[in-house]
This record gives sequence, C-alpha cells and structure tokens, in this order.
Amino acid sequence: MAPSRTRTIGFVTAIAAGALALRPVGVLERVLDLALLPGRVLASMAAPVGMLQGREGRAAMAARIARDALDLEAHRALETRVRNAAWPQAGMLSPEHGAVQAEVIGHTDHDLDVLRLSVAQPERVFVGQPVIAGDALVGRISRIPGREPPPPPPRGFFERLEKRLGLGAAAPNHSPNEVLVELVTARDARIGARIERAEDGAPSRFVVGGLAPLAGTPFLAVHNPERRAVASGEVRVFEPESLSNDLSRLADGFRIGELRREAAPVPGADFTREVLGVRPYLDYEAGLHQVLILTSDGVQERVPASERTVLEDDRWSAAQFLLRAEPSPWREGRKLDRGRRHGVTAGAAVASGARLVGRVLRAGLVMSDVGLPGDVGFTLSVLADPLTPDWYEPGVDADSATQAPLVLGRIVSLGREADGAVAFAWRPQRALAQSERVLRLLGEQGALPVTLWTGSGEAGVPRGLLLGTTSLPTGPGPHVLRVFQADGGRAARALRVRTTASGRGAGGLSDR
Amino acid sequence: MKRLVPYLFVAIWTGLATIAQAVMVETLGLGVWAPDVPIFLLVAALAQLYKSDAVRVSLVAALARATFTVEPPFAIVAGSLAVGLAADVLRRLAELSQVLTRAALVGTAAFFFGLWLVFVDAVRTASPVTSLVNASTQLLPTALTSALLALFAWPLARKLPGLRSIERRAF
Repeated sequence: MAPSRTRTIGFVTAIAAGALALRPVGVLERVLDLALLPGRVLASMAAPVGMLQGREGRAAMAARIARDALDLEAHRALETRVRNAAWPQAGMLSPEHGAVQAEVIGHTDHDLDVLRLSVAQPERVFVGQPVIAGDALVGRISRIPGREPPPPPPRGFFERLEKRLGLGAAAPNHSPNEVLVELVTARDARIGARIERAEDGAPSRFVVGGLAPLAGTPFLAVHNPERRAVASGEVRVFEPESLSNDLSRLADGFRIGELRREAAPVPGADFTREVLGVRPYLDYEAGLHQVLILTSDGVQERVPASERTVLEDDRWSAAQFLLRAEPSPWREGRKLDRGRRHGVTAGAAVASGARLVGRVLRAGLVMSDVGLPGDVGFTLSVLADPLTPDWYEPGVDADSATQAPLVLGRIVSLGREADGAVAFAWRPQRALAQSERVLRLLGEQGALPVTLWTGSGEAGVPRGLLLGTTSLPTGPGPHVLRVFQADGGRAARALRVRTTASGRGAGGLSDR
Repeated sequence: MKRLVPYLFVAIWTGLATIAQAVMVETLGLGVWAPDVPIFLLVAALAQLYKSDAVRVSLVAALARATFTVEPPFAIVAGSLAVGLAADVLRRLAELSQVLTRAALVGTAAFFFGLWLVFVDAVRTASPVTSLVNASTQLLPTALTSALLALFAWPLARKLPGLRSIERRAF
C-alpha cells in the first residue's frame, strides 16, 4: 500500500476515533472491545507488579476480616431502618388498606419518570395501584412486564449474529418480580389533590402532575386550580369519587408537597412570571429506596429482612485489579479482570467487604474499567447515617419512621484532595436546617457528622455499601462534601464485583 | 505475517511502558511529574521505521496502552494516531533523532496527548472549561519530564529488541 494512502486512512481513522471518543456509540465501542481482546493476554504482564503492590500481611488480613464483620453489622442496622422508612406513620393506613413492600431498582434507561421496582409479592400487584414512600405519594403502577407477552426472538442471520456477539442494544431483561411505576413527575401523570386548609381556612382542590417550567430543583405542575388566589399550604392526594376508580382513591390523604408560587424566567425576555406549583417532599430522581404499593386487600404484613443481606447474596463475583495504578495522573481508575462474559455491566459496584471501592465505567468482554470515588465525575446516590449519639431517639425502636437515615440524593466527585479526602458536589433538595431535629441537635451553624452509604435506585449498586464519613453542612447549598475513606479508598483488598446473574463465582462475604 | 512479530513487540514494549508510567504516577507518587513513557517510545520507534508502518504501529501502540488505562479506548486511538502522523510528517522536515528535535517533539506530543485526554474526560463528564485550563498547566511537568526522557533514554529506546525487521526498511 502506498504510504500516502496509508496516511490518508490514518487521518480519517484518527478523526473518526476522535469523534467517537467525544460521542460514544455503543455498537462501535463493543467492536473496538473485540480488537482489545488480545490485550487481556498482554495484561498478564502486569501480574508481577500487581502481586508486589497487592501483598497483604497476616495481621492486615485479620484486621480487614474483623472490620468487615463490624461493617456487616452496621449494614444490617441501616437496612432495617431503610426498610421501615417506607411505612407511613400510624393512622395513615386504614384497616381496608393493604400494602406490598417493594425495592427500587432504578429508573428505566430512556425515561427518568418511570421507576423500576422489585416486588416481594407480585401476585398482589395490579396496574393503577398507588405507590407511596412513608407518608408521601410516589406515583402509580403503569406496567407489569412479567405479565406481557415476550418479544419475538431474532429471526434473520444478522440479527442472530448481532445478538450472539453482543453488538446490538441489549433487550430489557425484566424479572417476574419487576413492575414499573409512572412517577408524579411524568408529563401525563394527573393526581387529584387538595389543600385541606388554605389561607382562608377553606379547602382548595386542583390537579397535580408533570413538572412545571422552572429550572433547578423539581417543581410539580398544578392544573385547573379550584381557586387561583390560593398560593400556599400542604398538598395531599384527594381523588374525587366521580372521576376516579377505587385503586386511585387508596392514596387519598397521602402527602405530595408544599404549594408555592415561584418566579420563573420567561424565555427571550428580561422579566419573570409567577408559576404556581408544588415543591415535592420526595427526591424522585435519587431519593427513593423502599416503597409500598397500596392494595385494597387489607393485608399489611411487613416482609422481614432476609437472613442473607445483599452483601452476602450470590450476585457477587470475586475479582482483582490487573494493576493497582493508573497511568493518567488526573484519573483515578483501575482495570478489573472481569467483564461482560462474567456478568459485569456498566455501573456495577466493586466492593471490598461492605465498603464501596468503585463503579464499572465500561464493561468489556473480559476486562472492565473501574472508576474510583476520586475520579472526577464519579456519581452516586447516597444515604447519610448520622454519627451524633443523640440522633436516634432513645426508647424509639427501629420500626419507627423517625429512625430513617437521611436521603441525600446524588453526589458527584470533584476529585481527590491533597489530604486524601474526596470532594463531592452535593445539591440538597431540602436544606438540613429546615429539619427541627437537626436544629435542635446542632444549632444553625453546626455540621452533622455522618457515615455515607450507597442508596438504591442505581443499577448495579446495591444499597448499603459504605462510602466514607463526612460532615453535612446544614444550609441550603449547593455544598462540597469532603469524604474520608479508610485506607485512602485505593488500597482495598479481597475485591468483589456485582454481576447481573447469580452464581457467577463465589464472591459472597460468607464465601471467603 | 513478517511484520506480525515486530508489531507484537511494539505492543509488549508499549504495555510495559504504560505499566512503568502507572507505577511512577501512583505507586511512586510522581503524579504529573511522571513522563509519558508510551508516547516517548512511540516517537522513538517511528523515527526509525518505514513510513507505511507509522499508522499501524501507532494503532498497535494505542491498543496496548488502552489495555492498562481507564481512558476511553477511542480517545487513545485518536491521540496515538495523531502523534504518529505528526511524527511521520515531521521526519520529512527534520532528523527526529537530533537531540533538540527529539526532546521538543516528545515533550510537545506528551503535552497535547494529555490535553486531548483531559478534553475528552471534560466533555464526557460535562466539566467546566476552567478545569481544562487548570489541566493544561498541570501537564507542563509531564511534557518537561517526557522531553528529558527523550534526551537521555533515546538510544536505549532505539535498541529495543524485536523491531529490527521493520527497522531495516528505514528510509
């Protein structure tokens, strides 16, 4: 081949690769991944270096095992508190109400307004049933994929080949226990609502659903208000008998948020206009973990926590980093010796004991890229468990909703600082200073020391993995949290990666 | 087929160079002061190979480097090819083995290669432009140490085993 022709091909390839680096295309990334397959053999060159970096003495191993046992106990306690936080306060559920516990798996890939749930008793769930978290409404069951006909298998040669090589877009893989919930934030959601006592003491009815055109934190749209002058008050579900069915009315009385008038900029103009909307109590994007589906069968059994926690189930696969270092000084990442072939997907958690080590950025066929918390852009949904001794009220058992950990929502890494702390950007939906308990315990100037744990709702990251400790500022934010991790977070041993299918390879805590 | 073995050696040497760089950056704590060893090796190899090998050697080096880093593989391929093509064009104008030329070329290549990777990361994580400006100043030490490496380790890089069969075709 003539050199000039080779050079032209080189230029075109470089430009195309540059464009694909900036705007990734899934199919082409998987094709390049096939080209990187021989690299797995090359990666074994790093084994001697990895062994030198990864040696763990007996004393260190004993200390780690003891620490893992303590972490597991803390994880169990957190799990109990989170599970119970889904139940409303006494009196909200009448004897006619039934309730089915469900765990949030995450949002669907294409729609943030649709939530995926894993349900303990799917036979009791039907489309249209309301979903709540504590005293607040989440949305309604919109689909039950397990009861829908399966998609047709690939027919053509190329379709089958694409599926075999894993080059096509993965078909959604729904378990029989999965149901989909349309959130109150969905564009077509319409919930009958009212304020029981408006400013003039009389009730006021309207419809809530979808998002109001206001930038920043979520603001639910208000439709057809009965009285336009009403501008504040606590909004609760109230479905009129003549316009709704029995299932919809099960959520009557559950809270939605605070009615407010807020100024919204008018596009293309230098003035603002007032928008009437509802500031919700829940963080629908990253603040939902355990929810209840309301039924009319009167059964309100609490499903006890399983003997084996999510840390001990068989969806963990033992893994190791090929090299405990990253050549790019501005990145904090590792190459993992597990890939799609082992059930690893992008976003999956990598853990050591109950501690989060990182998340899979890209899952190759036999290797994966893992981002550590110090990697800029590392994103995570977290819960905060206060370390203040007075936080959990004495004499109140763990079944009380007041014992729930704080839901912080999503935090984004800004990178690791010189002292080893990882800086995370945090935009609270509601300032901690608005909580009477926080003010009582800390005063307005105080910061709340907490342990951060992963929340649910992000695919591949189970709830209850320990991230580190920090102090939460009580102001409205946005804030920067400085999170401290044991061992600097980068020297973790005995790694496990979360996989999509069970039984991928003896990675449970109890297996080691 | 005749070129397969030298290409395999390019991959092995680049892999080892990337491991060495990773160890210097993190284990030895040099951070931004660690030289970009794979880029140095790529430029040193291209200075003595036949023209038509420039693109293929750059590609092989890119794939070997991508094995050991979490940077997006397409970004590595694009950056590596750009460095390879630039070196290929420049060697028509100057003798790349000359002391100042090689130092300047390796230092500049390390700087822009790093800047490209930082830019890709910034676009992917939607980071503000200020982070890119900060990164560009942080990349200067990498460029400096890479240039020093080219000054002192160039003869060693030219004697790496396994590349002789494509070296003989040098112009």
